[in-house]
Amino acid sequence: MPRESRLPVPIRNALPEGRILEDPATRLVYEYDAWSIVRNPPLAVAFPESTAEVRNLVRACIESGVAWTARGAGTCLSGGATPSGGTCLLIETSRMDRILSLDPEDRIAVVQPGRINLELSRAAAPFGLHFAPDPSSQSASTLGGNLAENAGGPHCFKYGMTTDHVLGLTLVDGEGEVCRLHRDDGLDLCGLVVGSEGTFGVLTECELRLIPTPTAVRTFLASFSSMEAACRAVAKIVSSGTVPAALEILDRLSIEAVEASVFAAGYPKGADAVLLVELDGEEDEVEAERIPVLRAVQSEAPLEVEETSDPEQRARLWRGRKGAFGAMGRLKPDLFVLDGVVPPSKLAAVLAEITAIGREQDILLSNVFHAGDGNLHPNLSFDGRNPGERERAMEAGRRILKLCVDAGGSISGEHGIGFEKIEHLSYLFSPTDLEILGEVRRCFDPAERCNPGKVLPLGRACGEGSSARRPGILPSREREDP
Amino acid sequence: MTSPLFPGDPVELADLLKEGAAQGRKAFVAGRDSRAGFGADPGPIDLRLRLERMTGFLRFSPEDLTCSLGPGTTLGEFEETLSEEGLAFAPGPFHGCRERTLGGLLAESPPNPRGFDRAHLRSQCLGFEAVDGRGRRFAAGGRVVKNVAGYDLMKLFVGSGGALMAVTRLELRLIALPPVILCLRSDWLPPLEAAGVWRKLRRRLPTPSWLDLVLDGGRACVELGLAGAASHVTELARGSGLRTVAEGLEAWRGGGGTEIPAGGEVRGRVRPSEVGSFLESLGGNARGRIHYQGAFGLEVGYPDSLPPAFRGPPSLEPAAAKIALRLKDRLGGILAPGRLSFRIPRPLPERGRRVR
Repeated sequence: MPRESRLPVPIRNALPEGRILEDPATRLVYEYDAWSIVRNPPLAVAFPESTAEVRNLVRACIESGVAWTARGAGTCLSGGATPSGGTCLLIETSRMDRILSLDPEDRIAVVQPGRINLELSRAAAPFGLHFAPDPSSQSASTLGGNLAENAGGPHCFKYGMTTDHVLGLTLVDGEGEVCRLHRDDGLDLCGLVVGSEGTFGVLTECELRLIPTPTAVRTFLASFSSMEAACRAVAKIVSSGTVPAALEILDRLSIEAVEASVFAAGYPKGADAVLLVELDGEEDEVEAERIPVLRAVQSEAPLEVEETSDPEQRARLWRGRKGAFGAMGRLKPDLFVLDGVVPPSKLAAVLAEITAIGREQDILLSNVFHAGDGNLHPNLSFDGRNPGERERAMEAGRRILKLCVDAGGSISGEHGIGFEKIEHLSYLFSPTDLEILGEVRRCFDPAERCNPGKVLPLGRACGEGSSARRPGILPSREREDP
Repeated sequence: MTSPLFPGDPVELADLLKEGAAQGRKAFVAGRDSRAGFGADPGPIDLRLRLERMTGFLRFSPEDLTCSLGPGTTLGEFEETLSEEGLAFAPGPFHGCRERTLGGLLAESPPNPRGFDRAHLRSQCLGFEAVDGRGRRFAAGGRVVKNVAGYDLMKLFVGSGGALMAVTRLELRLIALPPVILCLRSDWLPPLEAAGVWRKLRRRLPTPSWLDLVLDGGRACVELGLAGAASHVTELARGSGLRTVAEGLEAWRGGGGTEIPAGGEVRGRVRPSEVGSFLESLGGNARGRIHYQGAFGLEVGYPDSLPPAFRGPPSLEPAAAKIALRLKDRLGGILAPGRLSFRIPRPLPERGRRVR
């Protein structure tokens, strides 16, 4: 027998019938994103199709005193798309997946936020263009999510983060108003919104820059008997003035996990580290750049070096890197992926300390990372069913992020703060810094109903005391029985 | 004009602004006042502050391609130090700007020939320390080239015209100086003909360092910058049909070009496919540059000849204007009261059509 609706009437009436689901199974499906530590079943899940429908939903939420969280594909690794609490509406953008225009001459695409990243590049491919940001989740993650998190990816070493490829956007702000923002507006509000993790409003359209697809690509795989040697090779490549499209490292445990999985790529199993380098551009450009790359790699006495421009072989080499996080499932049932950044010159030293932290906390720890820009991804594999393991993994994560900050780095390079790192913001920011960030947020969303509890700690940054009494705001760590 | 004050450190600057805010004074913070007359009128000013004592490298990490600078450091000083280390600042060339301060350059964010890619000024600022219009000292971003912790206030600072905050420390991204750099130029041609050459090269060259359509009244030329490995640059230069006018650092800094700056009061972006009709509307009355992706900075003899979208300050829709005004109110406080200037294309009942 159907339950009586818990939804306030304005929300129930904001979309055509059948596009807001509140049954227990749906709410359970959407209770978390790719960071599974915090789980909050939403009040309901809404599926708008246009800017006008999102505006209607947001206005209905405001009228009803309900908070909301926008979600693309839910691939966020920091809890950014996890509902903010049991009385929070989840606005799911998968029905907003159209390419509204694609202009090859001006190299601009206007898309709805639910479009999957890789599908935009596929649509642009016939024109010799592509969308450069390539997070590992690009075959699943949506462009709206990429913008909200300012996603990176292996190729952002050369091409920049998502923010470098956004020309404009449309946002329904925290007051239910439609804001069209453009990079040429003088004040770069558009740039401010990118990476704000849905706390300024809900994205409904994105104007994106496409770039020419390189005509030549060459990929190198070098294996080393020590992580230090691999890191030194990276430093030498970067200081040579060469700008590879990607510079990625996997450590021994990651190599073993990958090679034992369906993502096996032929990485040498005895190596302590493998370095993937990719050069792209025009043929003569790539040919010229391969010389300093090979010189740098050879100077560190590699165990093996493989070089290929064959698309199938390149895909094989990348399969291991892109599938590495999936392969971690072979190690333990739970995975906690960190995202700290350190100055590249400190990579080797910080990695040694990270290994020591893993040992001290008795946690299985592997590393797959964007070496060129010092963006580490320590993977903490654990079994949450074993008493104390989850807690030890969390403690190891906390210590690793603190270590990154102490080394002059940051707690997140591309995954965002979300729920995950909110307690660690104080490593980077003073109370005044957080107060200013809170004020900036409230310029877009005075009542703090857009994805509350993400990016900034509630109460502390706002200077408004605890938000516990406000409905739909605090993350509930208690699983609600659907 | 009031006599300027020269705070020597962030604490002095914060104290001056805090005191000014308490007394209801209006403040304007500049680097060395080299651009005092530029941009929207800051309005009546009681407190003029210059940051030229906050200068020099505060941290330099060539191996990480980053550095920290005082905001009063000039572009010339900065570039000299970088070139000694085989490094460079990616944006530019900023013609005739070597005496300008880095803080001022970022606050203004002038048109930037290399700025169509990651070399946009807003992508260079990794973090900062600043003082807001109430005298509060705060920091944002960090020192590493990849960082998404907290909101990206660096984007808010770059191009804000000093209306929201005064930076006291800049964290900047650097690049290795490309091994070979060339600046090439076409002959002077009728503007539409030059635009044809520009568009053809734009299609052929996916990654030039810069590609400008340079307008000089009734004539125009194309200026191309190439940077990278010798064999690649030589090959591209040969196929471009243009002649080399400068090499190496001289080329990187804009030497050997036409001396027509990438500045001007009229700024915006035109779609590359629409450059021809844009030039027709200008009718030979403009001097300046249109860059690779259509961003431009022009001096225009008869501003009425501009398409309406480019006349006057940038236009913001009411919802965006509401947010900008809140930011000005909460962060900017007493800073440059008239600097944040934009038009609101549709009526906003409580504030009227134009906000200054």
